[in-house]
Amino acid sequence: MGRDHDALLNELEELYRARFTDFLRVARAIVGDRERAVEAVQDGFADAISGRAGYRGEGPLGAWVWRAVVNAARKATRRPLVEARTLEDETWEPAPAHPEVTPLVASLPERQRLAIFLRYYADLDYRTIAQVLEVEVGTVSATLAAAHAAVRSRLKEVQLNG
Amino acid sequence: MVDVETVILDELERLSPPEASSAADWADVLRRTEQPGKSRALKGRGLFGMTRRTVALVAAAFALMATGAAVAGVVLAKSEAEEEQGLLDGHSVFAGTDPVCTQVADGHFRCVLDRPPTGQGTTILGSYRGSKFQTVDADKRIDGGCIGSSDDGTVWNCYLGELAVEHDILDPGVLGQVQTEPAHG
Repeated sequence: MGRDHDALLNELEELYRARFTDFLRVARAIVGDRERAVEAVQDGFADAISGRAGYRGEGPLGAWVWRAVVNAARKATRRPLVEARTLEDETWEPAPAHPEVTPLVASLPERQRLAIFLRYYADLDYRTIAQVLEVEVGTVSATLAAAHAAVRSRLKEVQLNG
Repeated sequence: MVDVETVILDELERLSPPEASSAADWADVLRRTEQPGKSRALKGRGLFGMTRRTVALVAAAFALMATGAAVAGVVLAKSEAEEEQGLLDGHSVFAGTDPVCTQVADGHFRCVLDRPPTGQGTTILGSYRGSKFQTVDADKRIDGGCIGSSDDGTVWNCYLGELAVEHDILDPGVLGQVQTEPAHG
């Protein structure tokens, strides 16, 4: 039996208020700039509200909303992740300790990037990430392992050359 | 030896740093849906969810004000049979864009495309945000309009009747006029 629509709306609001900054961080990592990231989060939640009748409670509400926000962010961007950051971005930080890694993370296959963002920014467990990405739990594990291996390989390569 | 997780965390910190101040605005989310109780998804259905009549769209003044882009207007017709099937036909301005139109309020629809509209000679140079086109009914009388709500042309807000005037998509007095031929910008 589906949840009452008003109750679901309240749950969505609670989730939004509790985890907005996490949603924003993931969206920002996907779209590359803060302004569009905010738009993506707002649009993602708006889509979730509009489509809440279709939520059948087959998985956690959080995973369902994460999927809406990730999809909104994916639609919002057609630019590479790192290049989207601009000098005008007030949050630009000093050069990274491992400058070789950022372009690597950005150039990973989309699924690996998204899995990393959802794992480390949102602190989602593998099961939830699997539901967001609509893959098997084992695929999430393999995807993150592959991403780690790619980073490790790149670091080793840099250390050897350094 | 460097811990890979630590390295990734360091870099993610820079890629998307924690927010110093929250931009959370639930009211804005609700505004984007407007009266959520009335919302309904219209994926793959006619732009305004009309189910009984032939729909015709005229992409007439696409982007004239906001972008200054040159746009070829087109007359876009849709048969009742196609409408009954709940499909946007191949001549729609949104054709081939997998549109998902959601009714957010009476006379207000929000359409999300998976790519910008490029069919039927519609060409936009630069941002789609603020780009406009008017819609006509089966008698080719102007009955509303849509405005681009994203730079990449994938989000459009469409309004029927006076709402299109209120949102500065149509000039007052244009409503109900017969669109004799598509405009070219």
